[in-house]
Amino acid sequence: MRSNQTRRLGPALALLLFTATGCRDELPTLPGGDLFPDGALPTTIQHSVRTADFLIAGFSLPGTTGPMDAQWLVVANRFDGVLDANALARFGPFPDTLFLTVGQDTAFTYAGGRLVTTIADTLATSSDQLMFTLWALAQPFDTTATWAQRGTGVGGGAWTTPGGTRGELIGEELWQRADTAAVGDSLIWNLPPSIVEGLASERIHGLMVTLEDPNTRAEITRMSLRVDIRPSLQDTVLVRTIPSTAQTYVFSPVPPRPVNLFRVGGLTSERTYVRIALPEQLPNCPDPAAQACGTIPTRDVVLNRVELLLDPVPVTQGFRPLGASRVVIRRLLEPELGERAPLGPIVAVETISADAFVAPAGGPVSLAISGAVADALARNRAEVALALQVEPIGTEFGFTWYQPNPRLRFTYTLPQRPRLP
Amino acid sequence: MRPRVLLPLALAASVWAGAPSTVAGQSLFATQGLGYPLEPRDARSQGMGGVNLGFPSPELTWANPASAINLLAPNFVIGYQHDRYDADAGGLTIEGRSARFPLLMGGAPAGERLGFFAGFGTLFEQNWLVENPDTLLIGADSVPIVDRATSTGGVGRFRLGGAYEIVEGVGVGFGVDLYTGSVERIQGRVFPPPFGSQPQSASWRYGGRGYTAGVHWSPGPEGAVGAAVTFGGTLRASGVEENVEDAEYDLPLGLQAGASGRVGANMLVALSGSWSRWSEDQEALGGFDTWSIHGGAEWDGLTVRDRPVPLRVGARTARLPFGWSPLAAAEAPSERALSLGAGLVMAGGAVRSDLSFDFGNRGGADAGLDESFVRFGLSVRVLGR
Repeated sequence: MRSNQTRRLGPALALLLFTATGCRDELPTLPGGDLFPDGALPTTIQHSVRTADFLIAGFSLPGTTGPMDAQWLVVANRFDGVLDANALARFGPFPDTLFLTVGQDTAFTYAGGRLVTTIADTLATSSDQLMFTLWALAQPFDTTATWAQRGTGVGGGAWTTPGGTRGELIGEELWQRADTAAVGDSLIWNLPPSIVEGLASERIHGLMVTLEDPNTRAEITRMSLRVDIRPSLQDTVLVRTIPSTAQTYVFSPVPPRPVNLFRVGGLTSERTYVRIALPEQLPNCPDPAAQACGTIPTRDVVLNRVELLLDPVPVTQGFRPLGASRVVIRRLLEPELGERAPLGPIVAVETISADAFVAPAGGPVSLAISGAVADALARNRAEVALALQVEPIGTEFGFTWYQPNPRLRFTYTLPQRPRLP
Repeated sequence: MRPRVLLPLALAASVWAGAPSTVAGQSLFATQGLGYPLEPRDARSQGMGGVNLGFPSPELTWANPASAINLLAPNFVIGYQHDRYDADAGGLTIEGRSARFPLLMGGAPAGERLGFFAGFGTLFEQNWLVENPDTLLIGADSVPIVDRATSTGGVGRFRLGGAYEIVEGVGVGFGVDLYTGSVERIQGRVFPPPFGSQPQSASWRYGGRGYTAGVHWSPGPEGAVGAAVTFGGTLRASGVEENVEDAEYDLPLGLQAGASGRVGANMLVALSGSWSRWSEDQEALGGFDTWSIHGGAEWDGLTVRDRPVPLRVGARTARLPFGWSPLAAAEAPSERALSLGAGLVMAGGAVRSDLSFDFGNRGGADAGLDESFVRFGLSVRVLGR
């Protein structure tokens, strides 16, 4: 009898366990705050800390980047009534001999060429339609050139005409943002043979791109030159790309550097350091002024968000950003070293609209520093030091400025240890 | 493989599969008080409307420790349940399902008059999740948030006891319940990124002791009468983490009684009832005194290949100890069900597999919640009869 019962027991147990393990439990889910256990509905509080109550130090440092650190060039014409900028390019060497299957050719001629640049979607312009002008440069320059000087490598002389001494007008090109989908975002100037011959013989010292209309500014990619060569030994046209030996842009005036503001980013990659003393206590209710509720240790609350609020300031003299600025907040290591303090890991990255730096009408910008504050609290540190800068370094022409009166805004939820009824 | 070897194996399998301490959500009524009460029953009892004591011996039942008399050999019973429910709460429809082993019990005779038993049984199920979506104005932004509170766990009990046949067919029994199980509660406000959220959690382990005693009279296969009283004792919830408050609950006095008798050659009719004094012992939890009435019949005239196939039908009605919402606390929710069941007796009566289906609802117009459910039960009893 026992062997029979054992034979039948096995399948029965297997069925039982199979049925059990094949089921998936679902937690009953109830919607509605009325059903919460007593005292389980959380309370979230927003609390702002005034500048004087948390800012230990805040200062801006000048950066060291310049036109050569960017992959683009700036062109401007009385932008914001002030800023002028011209893009300069020099090309060479040009070939002096063609090696053809029929022999070497030193008597070839230039049939023309094309100067190409683009305004990619990532580059900023002040309007959707811009008229660019291409000029021959009448004086040599190098990459250290400024609005007034042609550069140390060419003797350090001044431009006869500040901003680049113009030679022959080569042509104009209209760029429209709407065209980018149909014909791409390129600007192409056709160069006559005389210009190419002039560049090859160094009778022309380079090319210069300017903007035609006042109050305009644009960023363009570095220029490339393709020339058409007609050999004397063959009835054909060869296309060659001529390398660039120098490209830069010159501008006027020099960027302003107001010492009483926080400065971040821009052509020179300014950065701002702030040292923040974390409050030890936070209000224990949403409206401590109306209700005496005491305080709670900051490290005991659930931090939902901590923000550094900065009031943007209009950037003057045409150096405001035209596109959104990517401000990177990094932890500052050893802040007691001041401007030599090494930068730590990234705390947050915030994108700030260019509109914030046109007029002071907008509200403050918010930089989320929750991670840095939570980490400091977890390590029992009373202070957080941060660096604000645009990254990668030297990738934005426009500066961002802020009033030096940041506020600290905590959004936190009061802790509620679950209890049994 | 002998049954005395199978018993520990079945115990281990049950624990592995998630026996009482990991029971899952069975009802929305689990949100209040100590949760949803779960009476350990096998599928035979479930199929007969939940009658849980007063069956002709030998039929080891959880409800009555005195049922351990007249055991023929070491035996055990394991029960499994699967629930599906649809709840209507203020116009909202909520669905759920769960699975559990509510009963695992074994017994063995010790001489002609003495019997011992041990087992695991469920007591309270405490699995639920409450969510409340809302919007917070933070600065100039409207931020969608969800307030969430969850409870995961339950209370089970390990029971040890024995029974003694004082005269022919009449036995008394006594059992000690050692409460076990755990619960974890997590609650907090969930923000979308980049906001941070850190729900708070706390967990407790249950302990404590309760007692039960019973009397059973079974003059033969024609019928039986049984009664039991339960002294709930104290259920202690000890916080696992630092600074988690402990809690203690006085579990109520409970009475159960049942009887069965043969009506004709193949029909067994059974009735039982119970009462518990929740309102006095757990006033702080908003408990209601509970009662239940169970009735069922079993017809064992059918055989398939010489194996008896008992068919069962039953009904029950009961009042639950805790309402589903503080807003509806003034009204005690009720539970009603009709049940069907069948069994298969094998090995000359040494092995019986049973299954059952319950079709019922809980709540009521004044309870704030109407919940319909279907419960499937499956159990195996070895050498129980």
